[in-house]
Amino acid sequence: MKDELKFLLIDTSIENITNILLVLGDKISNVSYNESRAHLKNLIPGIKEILQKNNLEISDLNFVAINEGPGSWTGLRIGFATIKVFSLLNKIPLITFSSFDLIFVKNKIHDGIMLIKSSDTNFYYCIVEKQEIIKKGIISGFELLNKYPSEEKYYLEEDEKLIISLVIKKFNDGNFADIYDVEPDYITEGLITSKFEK
Amino acid sequence: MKKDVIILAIETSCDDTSVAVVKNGTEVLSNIVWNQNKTHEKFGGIVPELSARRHLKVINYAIDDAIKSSGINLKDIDAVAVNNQKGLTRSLVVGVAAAKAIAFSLNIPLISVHHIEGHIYSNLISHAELKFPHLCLTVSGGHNLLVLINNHFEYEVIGNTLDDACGEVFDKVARFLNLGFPGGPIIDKLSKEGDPKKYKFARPMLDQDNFNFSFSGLKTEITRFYEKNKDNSQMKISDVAASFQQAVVDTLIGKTIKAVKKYNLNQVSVVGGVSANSKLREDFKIYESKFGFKVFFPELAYTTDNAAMIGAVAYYKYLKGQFENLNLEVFPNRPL
Amino acid sequence: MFNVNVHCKNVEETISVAEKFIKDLESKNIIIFLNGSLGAGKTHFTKGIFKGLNFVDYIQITSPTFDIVNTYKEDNLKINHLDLYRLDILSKEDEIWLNEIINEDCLTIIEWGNKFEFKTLKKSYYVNIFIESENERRIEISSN
Repeated sequence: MKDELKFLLIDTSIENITNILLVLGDKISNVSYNESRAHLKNLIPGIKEILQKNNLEISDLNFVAINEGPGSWTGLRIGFATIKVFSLLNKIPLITFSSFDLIFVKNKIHDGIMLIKSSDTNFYYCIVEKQEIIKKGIISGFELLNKYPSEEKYYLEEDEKLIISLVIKKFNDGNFADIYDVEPDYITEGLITSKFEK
Repeated sequence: MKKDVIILAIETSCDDTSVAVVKNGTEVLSNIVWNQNKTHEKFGGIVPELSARRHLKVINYAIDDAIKSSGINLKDIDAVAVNNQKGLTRSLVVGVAAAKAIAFSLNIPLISVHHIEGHIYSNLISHAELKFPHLCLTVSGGHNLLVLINNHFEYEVIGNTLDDACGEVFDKVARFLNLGFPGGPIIDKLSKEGDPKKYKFARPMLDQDNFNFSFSGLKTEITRFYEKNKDNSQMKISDVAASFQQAVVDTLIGKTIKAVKKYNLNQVSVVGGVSANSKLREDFKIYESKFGFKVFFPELAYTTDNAAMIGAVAYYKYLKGQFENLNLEVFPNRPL
Repeated sequence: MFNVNVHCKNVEETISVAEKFIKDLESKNIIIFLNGSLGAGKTHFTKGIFKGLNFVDYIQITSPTFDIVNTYKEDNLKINHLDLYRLDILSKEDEIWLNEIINEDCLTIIEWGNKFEFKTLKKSYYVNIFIESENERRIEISSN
């Protein structure tokens, strides 16, 4: 269909998974690499492969979308450096999304603490109160139990279809990122380090 | 009719983000360098994670600037080149990711360059008379080598540092004497007020029959000397700086001349951050006439980290068809 | 409790001490904090460690003063060699990734590590090198 939206959805926020989705209207095509520290090696080859497999040129794309994190800093940077430059040279708009965004798309969001694993011991978290995010940060498992013993904690499930509809909405709203200044959501605040003990 | 070759080059090995457009290996159409001195002032030393974040923040500005100020169009670019072989990993990946996106988007070849190779070629940008074979002394904070350059990409490393590079020693001594950072330019300036003959510090390894360098002994000698004499009002810091600098300069020149004699070469190329040192340049010129060789130094802008030198190397790789696949990775501590 | 206190007459002895030290350790999944003032011999000690690990080119090992981390792989053993000399005030962002790196499953050698506080559950050894005279050193090694 001529009007169908064609776009790439990139996720390099997890250290050992490079995920590339190509959305063509209703059809979703996927190329994924499960390899540690291999975002740099695999991202451009993956984009090239998925476009070729679907007989698309770069110029056929309406926009590109990338997960801004939180997640692996180096992974996010590789994704962002690649996609920002891609966007600049091909004059294709860039849209960012976050796992935390799903809160606004899902019908039922419950108050509590939403978690995304960051490492063996740490989590990215956001605190939801009265259905709004009131705080984001990074926290260790130990602190989490100490500081928030009674709040409900949950992992937000991966929901590809919701992310796709979220990103399409942003496109239709003209909610594009500034390809010069945009950067990942690093989230450092909150982690109690040896130097910054409260 | 020979076609012009235009290379877009990227260099993000440490804390300067640089993008350049170079024509035919020697004509620099643009050389953009965004440095991060402000961040470092606040922290005193380097901050790898924050540096990497800054590279990402400015990369599109740098690419845009480089292309706009060069006067060329995207379709004129024949290849993209990037340093992926020496530097801080988290900084290098930003440049390499950008270069790959460029190669793919413009459907042009991708060329990889080693940072030190870039320095070796920095002299070829300004000096058409520099031919092969020649001897290259490449000296900076991160490396200290004597290399025989027999032809394009035919490097024979005949001397290396066994511990500190001389640029590193400048930094460490300057820091120890509370002179500030970066040490090289500060000591260079201060030495002009001092007497280089006042103290005779060791010229390390000059007596040994090889071309290797070792400056950690000199470093220790200066620190011990200073500790012993810091309460001595007769000791002037400018004399210590000048004498220390002279010891380094004499060592670098001494080893180089030994190599000139052994390999019978009459062209010497001195490159890298320390090649900007005024005493090194001055003294080399004196020995030039004495020993019958010609010494070449790059323009100051090409002595520090910059993308133009990467573009210079890449031109010759382009002519040879030395291209990389799009699964190119980084090798942060690969030797030359 | 691990405790070593030796006197070294020269560089060769420093290298030997390091060689023996690493050879005697059963598990290499440890952190070695290498401390000493400028010129004390941290790099020489490191060369000794690599010699003890049967690294053919151990003499060419230099400190990653500029690149911060050098990573090696020898016989299935991964070695992270860090030099924090150039870091002064540690940003919290850098502290986070440094803590992650030193807690990796591998042998970690960290020069100038005593400038900062790191959190680790890994077995750690603290090597302190003191300058006694031009060529002589005293090496003290303790563990956590």
